[in-house]
Amino acid sequence: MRHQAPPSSSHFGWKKTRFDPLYTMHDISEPLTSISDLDPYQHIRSSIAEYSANFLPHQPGSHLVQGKYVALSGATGNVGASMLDILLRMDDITKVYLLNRRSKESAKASLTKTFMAKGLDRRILEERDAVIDYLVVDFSKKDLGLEPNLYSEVSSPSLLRFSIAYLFYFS
Amino acid sequence: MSDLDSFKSTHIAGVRHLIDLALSSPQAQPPRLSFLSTIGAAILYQGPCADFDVGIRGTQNLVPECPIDDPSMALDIGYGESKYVSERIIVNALKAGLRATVIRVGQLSGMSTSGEWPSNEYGIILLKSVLELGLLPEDVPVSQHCFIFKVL
Repeated sequence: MRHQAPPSSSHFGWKKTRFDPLYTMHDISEPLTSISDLDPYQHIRSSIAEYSANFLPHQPGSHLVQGKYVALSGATGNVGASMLDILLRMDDITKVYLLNRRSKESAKASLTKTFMAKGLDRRILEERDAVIDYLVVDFSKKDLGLEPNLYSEVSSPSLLRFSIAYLFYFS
Repeated sequence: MSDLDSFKSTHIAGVRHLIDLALSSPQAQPPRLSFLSTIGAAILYQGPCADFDVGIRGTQNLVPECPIDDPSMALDIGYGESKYVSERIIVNALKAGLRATVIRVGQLSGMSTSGEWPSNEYGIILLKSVLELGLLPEDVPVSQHCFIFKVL
């Protein structure tokens, strides 16, 4: 019998203990098939291992850089829109790459909607249009669904400048 | 509620692919990855010496602001687990040279200026349910009742 993680006793699980004997106990009449029978967190551990395999270590290069570059995902959401608003009001930001999934509505249109709903000044999107690069990405793809030249542009803008941050959020 | 598997192909893979993007940078230092996690990734944290009957609100159970390798602290629904998994992948990538920040965000309320609050979020759903049912959940601390009444 396969032991799953137990259901939460309350939504925030205040009563839950990590050594709950009810789900670590094994019925001795059944043979153990694997260690996962005893570990209710096996699905978590295996996912971490699966997506942590074979990182290619960073190779420090020698490119001299100027400017501040940010790639931001989730900009059409609650946190992302506020983040973008702040970024666009910083005068030392060179470029903001917006990483958005493909959708029927253009990223710019849904951004404008979010800005209006939140009471943010949407005029900043037009005023700072030159700073924003709208990129359609597919997070499930290794290359994020970007053309190779675009991928290396985000990885190292023009190879002369400096990208300072990737901000990533999902909900 | 969706399980961990439903977050794998896009969300968790997406974290991995952004890590790879950062590590591929030919600059002296790779760009910093800032990941917005959730308090749900650590909400069942029980302190370094877990005690069966000690409430989570005891001071010894403040969640330390550091990487913690303990899957039992993640809220046991897919969302909380997926954020915990993503945090751990980022921690594992530090050895490859990644520079990263993980921010565990709690429930954010509406905009300070307009009050706009996405209606599909937990906090606002709770408030709407209270209005609909005329009842308050038992789990909400009494001090919070006053706050809810004020909001309503």
